[in-house]
Amino acid sequence: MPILIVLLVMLAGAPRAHADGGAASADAGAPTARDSAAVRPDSAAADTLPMRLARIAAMVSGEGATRLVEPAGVAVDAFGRVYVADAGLNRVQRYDAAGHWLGVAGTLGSDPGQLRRPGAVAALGNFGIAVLDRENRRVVSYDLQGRLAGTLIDLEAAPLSDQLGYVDPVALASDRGGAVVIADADHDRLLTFDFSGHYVRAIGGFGGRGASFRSLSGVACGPHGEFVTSDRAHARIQRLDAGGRVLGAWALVAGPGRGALPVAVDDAGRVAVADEFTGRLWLFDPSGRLLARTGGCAAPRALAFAPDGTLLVAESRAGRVSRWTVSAPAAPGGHE
Amino acid sequence: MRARPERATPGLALFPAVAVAIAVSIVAGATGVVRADAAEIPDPGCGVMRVALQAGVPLYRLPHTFLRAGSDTLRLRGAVLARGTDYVLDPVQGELRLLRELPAGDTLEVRACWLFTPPPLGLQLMRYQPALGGAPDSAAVADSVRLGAARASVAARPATARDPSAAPAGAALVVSGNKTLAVDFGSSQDASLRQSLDLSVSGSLAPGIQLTGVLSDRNLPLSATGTTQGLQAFDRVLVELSAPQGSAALGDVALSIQRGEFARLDRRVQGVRGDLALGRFKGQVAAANAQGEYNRLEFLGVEGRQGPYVLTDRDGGTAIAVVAGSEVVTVDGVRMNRGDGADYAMDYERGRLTFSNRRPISSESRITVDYQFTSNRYRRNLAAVGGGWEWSRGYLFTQSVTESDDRGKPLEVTLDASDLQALALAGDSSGAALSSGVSFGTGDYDTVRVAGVLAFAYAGADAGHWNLQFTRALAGTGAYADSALVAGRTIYRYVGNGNGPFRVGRALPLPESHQVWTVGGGARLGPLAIEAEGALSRHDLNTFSSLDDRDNQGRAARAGLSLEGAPPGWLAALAGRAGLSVSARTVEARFAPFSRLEAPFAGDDWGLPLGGDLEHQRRVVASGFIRPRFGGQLGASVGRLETPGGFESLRRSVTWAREGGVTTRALWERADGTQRDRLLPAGGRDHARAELQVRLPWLEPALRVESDERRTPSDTLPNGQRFREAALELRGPRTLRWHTLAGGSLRRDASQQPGGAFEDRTDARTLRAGIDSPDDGAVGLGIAYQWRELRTVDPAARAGGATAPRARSDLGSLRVRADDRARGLRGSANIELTSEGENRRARTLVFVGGGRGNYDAAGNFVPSGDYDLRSTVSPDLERLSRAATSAHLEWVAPGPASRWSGTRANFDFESEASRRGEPLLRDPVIAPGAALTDPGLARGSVLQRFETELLPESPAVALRLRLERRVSADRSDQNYSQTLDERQASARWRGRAGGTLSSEVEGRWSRRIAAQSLVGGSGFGRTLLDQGGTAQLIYTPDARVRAVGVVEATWSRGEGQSQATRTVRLGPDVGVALGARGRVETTVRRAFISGPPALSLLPTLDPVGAPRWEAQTRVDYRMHESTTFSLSVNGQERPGLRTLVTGRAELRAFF
Repeated sequence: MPILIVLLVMLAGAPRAHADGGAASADAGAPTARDSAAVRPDSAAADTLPMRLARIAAMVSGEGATRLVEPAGVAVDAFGRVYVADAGLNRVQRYDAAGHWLGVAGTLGSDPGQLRRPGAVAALGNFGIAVLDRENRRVVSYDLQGRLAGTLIDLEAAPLSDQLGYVDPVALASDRGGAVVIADADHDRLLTFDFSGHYVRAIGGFGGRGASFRSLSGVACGPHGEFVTSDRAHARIQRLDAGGRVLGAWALVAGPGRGALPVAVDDAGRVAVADEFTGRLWLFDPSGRLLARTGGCAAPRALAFAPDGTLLVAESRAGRVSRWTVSAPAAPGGHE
Repeated sequence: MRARPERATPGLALFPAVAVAIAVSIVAGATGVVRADAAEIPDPGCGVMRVALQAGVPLYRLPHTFLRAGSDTLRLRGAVLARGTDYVLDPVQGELRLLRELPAGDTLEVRACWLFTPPPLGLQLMRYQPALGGAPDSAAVADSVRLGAARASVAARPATARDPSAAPAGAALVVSGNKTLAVDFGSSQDASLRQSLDLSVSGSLAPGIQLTGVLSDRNLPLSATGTTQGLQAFDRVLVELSAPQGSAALGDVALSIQRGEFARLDRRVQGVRGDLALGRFKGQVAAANAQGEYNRLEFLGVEGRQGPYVLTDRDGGTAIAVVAGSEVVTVDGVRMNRGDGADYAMDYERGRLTFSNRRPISSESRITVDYQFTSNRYRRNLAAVGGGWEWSRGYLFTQSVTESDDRGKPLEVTLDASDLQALALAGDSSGAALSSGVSFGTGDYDTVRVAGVLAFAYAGADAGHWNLQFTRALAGTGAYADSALVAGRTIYRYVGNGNGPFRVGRALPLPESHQVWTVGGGARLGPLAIEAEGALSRHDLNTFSSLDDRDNQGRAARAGLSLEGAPPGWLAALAGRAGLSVSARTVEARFAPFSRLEAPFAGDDWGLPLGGDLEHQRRVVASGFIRPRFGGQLGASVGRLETPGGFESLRRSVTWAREGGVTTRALWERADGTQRDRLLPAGGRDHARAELQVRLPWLEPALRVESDERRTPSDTLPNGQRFREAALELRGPRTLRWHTLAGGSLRRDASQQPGGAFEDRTDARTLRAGIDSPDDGAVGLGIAYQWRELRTVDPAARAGGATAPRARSDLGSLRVRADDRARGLRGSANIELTSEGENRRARTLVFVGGGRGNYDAAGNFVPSGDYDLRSTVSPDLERLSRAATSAHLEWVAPGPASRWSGTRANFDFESEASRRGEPLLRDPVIAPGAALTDPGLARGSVLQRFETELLPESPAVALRLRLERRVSADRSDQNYSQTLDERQASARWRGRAGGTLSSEVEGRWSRRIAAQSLVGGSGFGRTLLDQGGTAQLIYTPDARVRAVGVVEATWSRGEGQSQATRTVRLGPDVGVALGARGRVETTVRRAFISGPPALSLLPTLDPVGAPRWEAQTRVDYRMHESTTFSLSVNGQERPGLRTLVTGRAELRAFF
């Protein structure tokens, strides 16, 4: 077997840059906040950054049935409708693009239609919504009208549980084709599933270098099926292609603790990251260049880009989902 | 590094430029065309494109394609935008994507250079069509002559693509999606194709016209050419188009027509809908496939039962499926919201409605459900068109709706000539629409003579010569009765002509056709307003038959006149405003609207019996109101009603309402009704209600008293119900951020006795309390609780000293959250209490064949028996009290980032208890032992988990310890129970977590107990003890290689066994990058097993234990930035079994 390993290492060939414009650090071993202080995103003053993040509204907050207590997941469909998972109320709420309440699903429990501390939400193809039912360790799917479609993935049901062992699902994402990826914090790996919920493979695992994770905290899917991950111990963002190969990686100044590091990617490949512990919010270009930075979010636990380019932030401590615009400072820089 | 030829050899790079310069000089000198100031001639391939910015539109298509790389400069109000930061540009497609929001309405100036004559962006193949023989087209010849030979030769060429510069201004559509093709293969399966397509289009078609469309296609078999055929072949499509003048939607759309009163329609349909607004005109048009038939149910709730309530079709049949999202549910006139966490949940597949604990249901709850149930008769089409004009002094509208079954497309039957003849002769009677239902051949029946009459008799399964179908017959026409169930089939026996509810025959579906047309309008002349509406309907219950068509048409009309304004003369000193109105409505008995005309339970207001027909009526109502100067409104009305069923009623009412610091409301209404053809014709209603609310600085008390007495006509005994209720509610002031509520009510329900007097029957006491804190604090609290007790008041039993029967239903929820960031503590708890109804179930022994079951005939569990257990569901419902709890407590090491960052300990507790009957205080926090042994629990489950992680971010070492107990018990069946008790512990050590070489060792221990028991049988029980561990050595020199060596060891034995099954598995996990675009991963495990065969916790036919060899190889290759190919192969080998190989080849493309 060692011979096989050596052979495969030789097959890998010399490091080379790839066409996607990923950071050179991809092949040199992904940087972390500790070993790559030169790219610390907080080292630049906010007013020198090319873009600015501004909260324009508390899009979703209210009383009674429309109320949010602890928003832990947010997703937007093609029509701009917003889906919010509330871990405090154990339900999923729907709002239209203007923030008007449309409906609710879920109650506390483990039966079909019930949820226990739901977390991340992701658009499942064009006609579905996937919700990470964290304490029930499953992914349930709803249609766009909020009707329960069923359990898409049950991590505690055999034979999947025999194959994967204990899973601590902390984040969920879905690509344009409805394939689902779950971030497993216990084994520091990504679990990928096809659009019908069949298990496909695991990506990564515990380790210190690229394509490995420690304290995996967030995952998002890019426009071409790539994954963007955040792990808190390494304080690092990684872009992986669908096969698990590292396309780029950059460091992050994440706070201590175990809070979420939610990630979102827009159609242009820009990456938004937030730190639940410190309340910071960053925006990077696809290669990891810091575009904007702000703070003051009340324990952001989930991010999502809306079709109009705005960023939705689920602020769990404030019980609201806020909408942020990405704009330029007063005098935009440019080139001739 | 990728070669960059433009910098590789400067000398060669200069050569073309020099050559071109020399050539230009020569040409200029020869012709004299190029002058000294030639540099000032603008480049025709460069210029400025202006883009009008629109709100929310990030992508714009420029009028030119093939832009020169780097030539673009964007300015907004003179400021230059930065490429890559403010925008990105696709130079080939000429697509501009803004990366930040720019002010809508501004003009963006795009300066760039482009190819003067760009090649086409798409390939368009033109079929060559040779000129027909004979004379050429004279017109073409003339044009050729006029334009010259050169132009004619150009015109003769087929066009290859559209001119990109002619793209409509403002058109900017974003197309994105994914196409996945996968082939699954394996040694024990045929190759199968899985595919999906998700397509999304959004953007602007033109200024102000927005388009959003999505399409999804899953698992469709491919045609020979590899494409799906036709839009209707796609799974789902939804397109929405909006423009200043209107909107349109295609797909699964909601159709709502609300003008007037007689042609209202509220449906969810699959089709197209368009809305148009042109000045004062507003129109709507729709064409769709109706997804089902409309129905409405009105019923009273069952005390303390939240559900399920079963919905039916028009004939009372329960086996219906409800069209998802079509229902409108009201309780006591208030519309409910769907969702388990809202007011109700709906099981669409089985047509069942269950209310949540937010909406307590009692025997006085008046529930109305409007819904569509799926039709299985004919394909049904619906079309609607309507329009209205509005101006300052009036309005006019007309609309028409038609819904018809396509009689040429029956859904679940095939109609032959005899069936069509039977339908033609059936008129509107579904009972008469029968085919013979008799066919000769192998069947279950034979013919016999009974009292000289030839009849059919059951001969045994497939033992007879006649194959028969039976259907429910009209009264007095049946000859058979259902007698038994044999092998799942109902057996019928002959009981004599006219004596049975069934007859031989097959029920044929009747195709319906239904139309409503309405026209109406209104006008306002100063204080006077008038409105009127007329409608015609046509409803043919059988379009195959012209019989019974005389009653197909019906009419309806209404008119109203109102006068409203400041009162004249001395009245003006008393009242600021007053009004009078008179309205009349007549609806013929034959008029058939698409939805109910009257509000739910509106018949109660007139004294009409529950279920009486209020839709068809003649009614006149006169009303008036006056608003005094000191506030409030006093109103009064009087009305008279007649229905075709012979019911007449006179109704009077007076209302008062005044809002403010002291709010007062009062209502008095009385109706006296008479049903002419009843022995006890008198009916009516006496209703009075008074409310008082006071808004104090520290408290807002509210008091309500109400009395409602309803009497309905009857043929036997006096029929009437009455309730009297008093309620007090104390609410915290609205200015506080903490919301508090406490209240209670006392209600007595009485029914009318034979002597006419009312006698109390039930006594309901309800207490409510609630508190809600703001969400943004360190502590959050939310409590809502309702205690309700219903006592049956039986005078005879009370006189004898007996205790009145009680029924209690508690509903509640508790939510607590606390967060102390300084100490790193965080905790939350949620509890929900509710009551539900569930069908009684039981397990029965069923013979399944020799050796194919797990039970013997006596119900004893045996390894290989002839019987197995099947669950049977009774229609009877039993009441369950359910408590669900979720609690979490977490401590995370506080302080700045350090080696101890992430160190944590957390405890999770979850439980769920469904108890038969009333809830107990301990149910929300049930102990594992109670869940396992308490026979009163229909279901119980408990999870306790403690987990701690030390130094998870340390580069040297990290530890994790987890202890977990999970218990579940299922006694849903009356005679069968199954319990599971699992205890697990694991400890994990990770070393050198940040290095190239890291390691992980984990030890595990578990004890699992499973038990099944059947009343009367010996049952089954098994305890498994497992212990073992895993060690991994991880080598990650860089991002391209990840190699892991894994060793797993497990000892497993059943309790009482002396020897354990010992399993050692080892092998590598290797992942290596293949060049710049690929990656290959291989996992291999070899298992060495010794000792007795492995056991599973519950009996199973599947192989148990690890396979001897297990391997997986996967290759991923990025063929293009957005296209990935992957191939995976899995193999398993077990001793004595065939080697199992499965795999998948998958191609995924994103666009």
